Amino acid sequence: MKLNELTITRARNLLEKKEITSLALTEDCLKRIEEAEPKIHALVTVAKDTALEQAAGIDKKRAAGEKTGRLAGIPTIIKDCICTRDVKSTASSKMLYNYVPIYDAHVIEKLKAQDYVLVAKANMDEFAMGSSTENSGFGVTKNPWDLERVPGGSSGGSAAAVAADEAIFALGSDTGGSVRQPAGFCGVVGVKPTYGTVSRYGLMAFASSLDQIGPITKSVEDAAIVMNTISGRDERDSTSAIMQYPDYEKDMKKDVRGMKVGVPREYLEQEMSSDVRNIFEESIRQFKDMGATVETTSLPTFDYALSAYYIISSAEVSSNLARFDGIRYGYRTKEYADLKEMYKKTRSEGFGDEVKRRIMLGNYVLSSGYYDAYYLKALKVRTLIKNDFEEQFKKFDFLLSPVTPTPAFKIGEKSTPMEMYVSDLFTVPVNIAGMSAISLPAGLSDEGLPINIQVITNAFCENTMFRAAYNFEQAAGFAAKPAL
Amino acid sequence: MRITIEEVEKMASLSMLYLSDDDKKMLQSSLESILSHAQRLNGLDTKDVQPTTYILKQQNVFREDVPLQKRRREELLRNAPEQEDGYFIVPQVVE
Repeated sequence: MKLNELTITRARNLLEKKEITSLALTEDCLKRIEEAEPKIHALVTVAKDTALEQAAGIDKKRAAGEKTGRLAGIPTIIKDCICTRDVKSTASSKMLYNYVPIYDAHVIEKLKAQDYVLVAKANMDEFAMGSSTENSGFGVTKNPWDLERVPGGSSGGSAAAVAADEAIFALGSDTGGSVRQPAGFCGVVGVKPTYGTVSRYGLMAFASSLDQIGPITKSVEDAAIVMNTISGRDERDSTSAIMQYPDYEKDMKKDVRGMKVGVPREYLEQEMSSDVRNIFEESIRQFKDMGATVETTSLPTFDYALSAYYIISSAEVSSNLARFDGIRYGYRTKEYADLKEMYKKTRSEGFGDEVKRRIMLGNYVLSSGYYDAYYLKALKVRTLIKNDFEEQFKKFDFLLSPVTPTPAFKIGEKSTPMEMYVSDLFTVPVNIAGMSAISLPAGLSDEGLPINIQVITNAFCENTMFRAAYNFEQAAGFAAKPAL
Repeated sequence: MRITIEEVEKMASLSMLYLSDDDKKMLQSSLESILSHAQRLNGLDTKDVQPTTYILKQQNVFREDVPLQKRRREELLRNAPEQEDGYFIVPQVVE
C-alpha cells in the first residue's frame, strides 16, 4: 500500500511504531499530487518545501522522544478560504489572487498545535458560492471517479483531493452543504458540525450565521479525530459556543441497538435517481439489521428551506463582501478617475458571475420595500424550520436522508443558477436549523459513482452522529476507490 | 415575479458593480427565477413567529477591551495593492 492512501488512524499507528516516517508519508502525498493534479486540478497552491520541512522537523521531534501532537506528521489539505499564515489564500477568487495572510485561522492554530503538515490549499467555488467547483476563478476541479464530472462544491477541491489520496485528510467549509455534497460526489466522509462548534476566526466569511468548517476524511473515526482537534471555544469568534466540548471519539464504537431513526418523507418525495433511492433504502435496512428502529416521519417545512437559505445567505454575502474594495489587500483595477470608479472597476473585474449574482440578490432582499417580504420572512421561516427539527429530536436519536438527489453530474450540465441550487436541496435544511450532520459512503451507482447517505443529529449531538455513522460504515464496508 | 432593468441597475449601483447590457439581462432573468421560487415562502403563516438571525441561544459575549496582539504596520501593509510611507494609497477623496 502506498502511504498516501492511509487513514489518520493507520498512519498515526505506523508513525508511532516508527515503521514509517512523516517525511516518507509526505513525499508519497507530494508524488501523488504530481501524478493526479494534471487530471483533477483539486489544488491551487502546493506548499512542497514547507511541507517537507515540517515533516522532517516532526520526525526529528519523534526520534528525540519528545511529546508529539494528535496529528503529528499527518499531511493535510486546507480549503483555500481558510487563512494560512505565509501561504497564499485566495478563496479561488481573482479578487484575492495574491493574498498572503499574516495570521492563521483558529483551526490552523489548532492543527499546528497538534503538529500537522500542510501540503496544499484546495480549489473551491469562488468564496464558497457554488455546488460544483465550476465557479472557481482558477479552473474547474474534476471528479476523480469520472473526469467528465464535477466533484461537487464548494469544497470540491478538498473532497477530490482526499478521494484521490493526495493527502490523508482535508478541511472544507459548509454553509449549505459545501462539505457534505462534495464528500458525497467523491465517496469520502464529510462533517458539518453544529454551528458554533468550530471557530470561524480566519475563515473568509460567506454567510456568517451559517458557515462552519468541517473535516473531509477517509473514515468516520478520522473525522472524529479531526473534530477533537479543531473544535473548541475561541474568544475571537463571538458565535463560538460557550460549553463543555465533548470527546468526539467517545462512545463512537458502541452499537446502535435500540436507537430511534427518523426518515422524513419529504426527502423521499423529491425527484431522485433510482440509484440514490435504492442505496438509501438499503441503508435503512442496514440500520434495522443493526437493531435500530426506523420510522417514517415528516418535516413539513422542508420545501421552504432552499428559498430561505438563498435569501438569508445572499443577504449576508452582500454585507460580508463589501470589504473587497481594492485598498487594503487583493486585486485593484489598473486605471480609474476617482475613488468610486476604482471601487466599481475593482469589484467588477475581481468577482466572478455567481458572486456578483449573490451580492445583487442580497442587496435586493435587504433593500427597503423588499426587506420585510423576503429577508424578514426568510428569518421567520427559519424559526419554523428550526422548530420542526427540534420536534423530530424529541422522538428520534437521528434522522437519515440521502445527501443529493443524484450522483455527481457532468461538468457544464447545470445551465441555470436554480438548477445548480437544487443540488443542495437535501443539505441546506441542516444549516438553516443549525444542526449537525455527516455525509458518508453507502454504495456505488450503476455507473460506478459513489453515493453517500446523511446522518442528521440535533445541535451539539455529534457523539450520536459519529456513533451511527461509525456503525454503518463498519457494516456497509464501503472500500471502493476511484481508478484514477 | 418581475424585476425591471432599472431595478437591476439600482442593485448594481448599491453593490458597487458595473454591468454590461448582457450582464444586466442575464441577472434580470436569474434573479427573477430565484425570487419566483422564493414566492413559496408566502405559503407559510409566520404571523406571531419571531425571526431567527442565528441559532445559538447565547446572547452578547463580552470581554475586556484590551489589545490581544500587536501587528506590525509593515506586516499589515504587505498585502496592499499600493502603499507609501507606511500608508495605504487611495485616490484623492477631498478637493
